[in-house]
Amino acid sequence: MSSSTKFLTLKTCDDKKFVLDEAIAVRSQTIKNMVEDDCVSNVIPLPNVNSKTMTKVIEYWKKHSEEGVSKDVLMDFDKAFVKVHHSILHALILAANFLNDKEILDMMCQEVADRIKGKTPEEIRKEFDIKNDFTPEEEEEIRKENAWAFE
Amino acid sequence: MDSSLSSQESIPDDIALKIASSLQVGDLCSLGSCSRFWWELCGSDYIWESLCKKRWPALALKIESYNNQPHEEWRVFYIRKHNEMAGKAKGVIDFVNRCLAFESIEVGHYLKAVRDLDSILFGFEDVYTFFLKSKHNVLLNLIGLHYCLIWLGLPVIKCPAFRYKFVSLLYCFCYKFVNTRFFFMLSVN
Repeated sequence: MSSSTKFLTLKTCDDKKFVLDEAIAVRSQTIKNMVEDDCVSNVIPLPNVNSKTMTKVIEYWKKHSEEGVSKDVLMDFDKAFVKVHHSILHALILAANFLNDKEILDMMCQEVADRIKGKTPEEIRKEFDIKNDFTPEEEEEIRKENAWAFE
Repeated sequence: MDSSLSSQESIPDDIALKIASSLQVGDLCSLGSCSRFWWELCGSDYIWESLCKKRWPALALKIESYNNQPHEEWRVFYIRKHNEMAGKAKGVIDFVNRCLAFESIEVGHYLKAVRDLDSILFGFEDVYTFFLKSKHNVLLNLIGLHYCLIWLGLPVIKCPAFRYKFVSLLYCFCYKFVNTRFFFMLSVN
């Protein structure tokens, strides 16, 4: 590694520290802005991201920063990357939003949309743990209102 | 109000909206049926306005003028328009079914059906929704395809779903019909 490599220390909300090559960390627009504005002292606090989620994000950043990695390999990596429980998907969306990483955010939103595709409301609720707060009457009303879309 | 996908911290509205606006109409309605939060979000004018304009590009001009008046929600407009198109499609389908004899159709009737689709400003999604269904007679499927290719100028290659339909329909057509008159008409076109 060249001597000019700069490292940043990121601290997640559960007080875990991650030391990361600055060139990789600036994939996050939020961190990039901090570095450019010279706001970086020793440690960058990430109050909205926990260590488990940050590990996933860094895994993604590192893979996508590797030199000479083929498109196919990255595609396979991405495919495996999004195959996670919805709670992790959710955490990754929030983290990507906070870190302002459009690439991860778009990929995760697409994954959510893909998981919704072709499912009934009941299946979607189950998939994402959504609480049904309609009364049975309201539900029936909505079913009738939506009938046109499923003819 | 629980705006989260799961029970953790809420997904910001703009991201929820981003997800919802990438869905097809059927999936959007399903998601909207999940909870109050999603019902409100999935019914937003922002989403339905773009769905309306995407589905009926030919109506764009009329819609512009419509924009200036106090109006019904875009979702309500979409459903009304959808039902209107469904009614018109039924008219053409009934006409073709009446004209069908021994699984073939007069060239004049066939062309009239295609022209009718044009006169009622059918868009690709209308054709896809109402004509390219396997439950219909294959000639109806073909009328829909013919209209898309010639009238709408839809390039077959650009749309994989469409290409698949096209190939399977052609296969179906060749299999079911050995009607020289019809092939003659196709080659004329």
